[in-house]
Amino acid sequence: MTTRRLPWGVFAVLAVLGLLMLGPVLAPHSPEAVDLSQRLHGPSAQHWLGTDNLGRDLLSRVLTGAQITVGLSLLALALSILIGVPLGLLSGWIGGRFDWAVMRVVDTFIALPDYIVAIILSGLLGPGFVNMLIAILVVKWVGYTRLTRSLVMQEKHRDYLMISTLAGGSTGRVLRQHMVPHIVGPTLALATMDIGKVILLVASLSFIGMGVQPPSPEWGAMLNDGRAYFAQAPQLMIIPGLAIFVVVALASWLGDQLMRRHTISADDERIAHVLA
Amino acid sequence: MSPRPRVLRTLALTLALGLAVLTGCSAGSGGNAAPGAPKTLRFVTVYPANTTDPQLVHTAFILNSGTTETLVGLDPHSLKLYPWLAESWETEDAQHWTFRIRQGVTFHNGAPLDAEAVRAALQHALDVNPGVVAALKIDSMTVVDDHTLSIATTSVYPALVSNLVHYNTVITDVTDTGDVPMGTGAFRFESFDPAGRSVLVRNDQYWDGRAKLDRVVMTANEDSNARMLALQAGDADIIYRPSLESIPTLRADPAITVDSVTGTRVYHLQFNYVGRHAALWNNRDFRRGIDALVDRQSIVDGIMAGQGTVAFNPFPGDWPFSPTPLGRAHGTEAALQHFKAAGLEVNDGKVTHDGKPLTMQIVTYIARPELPLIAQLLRESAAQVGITLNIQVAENIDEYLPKTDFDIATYSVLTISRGDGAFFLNGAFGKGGAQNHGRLADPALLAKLDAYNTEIDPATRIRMIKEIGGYIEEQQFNSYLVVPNETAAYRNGVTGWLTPGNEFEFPMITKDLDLA
Repeated sequence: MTTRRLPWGVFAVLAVLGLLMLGPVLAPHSPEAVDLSQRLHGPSAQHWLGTDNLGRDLLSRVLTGAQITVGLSLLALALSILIGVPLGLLSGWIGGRFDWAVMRVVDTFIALPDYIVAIILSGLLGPGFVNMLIAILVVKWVGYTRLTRSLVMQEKHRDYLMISTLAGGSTGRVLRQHMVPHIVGPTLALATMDIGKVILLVASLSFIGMGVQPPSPEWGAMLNDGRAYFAQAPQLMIIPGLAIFVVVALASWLGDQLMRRHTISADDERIAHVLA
Repeated sequence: MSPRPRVLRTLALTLALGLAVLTGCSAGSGGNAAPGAPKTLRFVTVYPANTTDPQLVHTAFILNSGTTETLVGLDPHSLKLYPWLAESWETEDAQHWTFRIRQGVTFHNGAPLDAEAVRAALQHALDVNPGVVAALKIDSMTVVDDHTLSIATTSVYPALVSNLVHYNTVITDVTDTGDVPMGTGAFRFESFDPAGRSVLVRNDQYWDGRAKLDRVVMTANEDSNARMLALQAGDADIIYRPSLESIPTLRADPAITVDSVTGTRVYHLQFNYVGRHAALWNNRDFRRGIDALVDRQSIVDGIMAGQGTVAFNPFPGDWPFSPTPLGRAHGTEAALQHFKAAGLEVNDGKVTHDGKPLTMQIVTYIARPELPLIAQLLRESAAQVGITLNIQVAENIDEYLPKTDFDIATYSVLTISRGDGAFFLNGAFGKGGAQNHGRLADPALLAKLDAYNTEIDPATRIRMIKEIGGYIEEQQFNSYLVVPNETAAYRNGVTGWLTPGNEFEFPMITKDLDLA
């Protein structure tokens, strides 16, 4: 009997997921507790990763901040999928003028760079959790609409769908029973690939002050806070920077694995724009 | 010979060559090494000019460059006004003024400075800049003779002279059609790129003596890290306002001197007297309770790295117009007593209002990096007495505050500006004042302000401003916290540098500046 070894990445993903879920519980201190007498201290028994410019425990902030950075990214992606996938389904299935109109909107959004649009929107709406969510949503839903529509267009003329329709199946039932199963895998794979980009987008917006508000320990905001102290306490930037790097790299690896499983290539024109 | 040592030797040689090249580059960047070469100083300030029009520019870059001068100067040590391009001025009613224009002064293009040139420059400022119209309140200007200019203000306006310190009131030859400002200063522009590098050369005809430097390369960079790196790398001789965090690093460098002076701005908390919690903010005891939560010394030591002094009113320090601080107790216990006196419920060290926990909003902004930290410190103190402060960071505080129902705003403003408190007091406490974001309209304070605005006698004005400052502290109208230091850092060999208390009212490049 042969045993199949799980790749190291799976362990790493599980470990990061564990830290994500248990971060606030594992945090040894309150991530927002200010203690100016402890500011900019290096690693010690009390503060394993040292303290920041307000004497807050860096480890606790990174652990707690994971839920904010990754949680916000997951929420933004989930909402993008919830908007993008049904719209793509309907667009591909209904076709005609509705499809044309939806695709023109999608083309318009895809033509604009994600970061520029998100920054402009955040600037217009103002900084804050909800506004950042809206900004990410606006730039991310289009990818899922386009992908779903492409998958529907491939499948909609197959015989089994025609038979199902002729047999009296309603549009909703046909889409739910026959189309959704085709879409789940590729969408999930793309979402996993996309999560790294969304995390970077969240961190970038917070880094330039357009994201979550202080004293929230969001990783991008932590990077920004630490920028002024880089010469004195480089760990203030290195630690959250490493956290972002590890999570993005793992999400990218996981997405890659899922794409292989669903035999999707990154060169596939359906998804090339999402990964661009 | 084995291959391994050969590889190591090649590596070492490459490294040594690389280092030698780098060292050579570094040594060459100074540009002042050759004997007899022009003395060129490289100065990096913070904000660039947004235009070449000195009467319209939004920053003090042009005044700081030492190329232009105003009628009235402000002494950086005493903060007293002194005659600059105006030799003297007189008025009997603070509405009709006579200015004697300095003789023997020429613009950089050779044209003489006379009363007509001064009138034309001020008229241009009034034509293009509404801020100057509001600050000077000039009704008419008349050229009496070649060196006498008569100015009438729209009303009795003793603050006219102190407002002539403003960087938009510099006197330039506005008839000159060149593309650089044509001033009267110790240096003239050889080139002027508002967004980048400007080159100043000595004005050999300067009326107040020849400058020691031949040339100055003046640039602006808003990134404090970039300014610090420029100084450390030897690409700058002087940098203005290094970040507070970089000061210990710069002080540790034996080739660099850090000069720090008490500034003329005050970081403070503004309260909103007309918002959803207006009833609380119009209660003096509640304001005192919030004020008692702030540990000012912690801000100076912990947030500002010692680069500041605590303040309790808008005019801190030992200026003639500084009120004596009242010395109220601070801390959680003191705060709770004030809250109780304000009519709030206090149980187990926690404050409630009408039986509910109190939640308020504090707005801050990042242009002054210490302010968001002060907001977080106050948030922490407020949480200890059960008050939740939600922090909101605004990109542009002056645009944001009028549109939002905030409770507290961290703010920074020049209070001791122009040697006279009129500009600050009217802006911060006058009805509709540009900095009165909390829309305070206290009748007693407004009456004091009205009396102050029409008082002509300088000694009485000083007494009145001191009294107003004391009244503001006693009533706890806003919470004045810290006076941040103004800092500059320069490489050894620089002499004659004087760090000003703010960047708006003083030339930085002066005739006394030199390189050893």
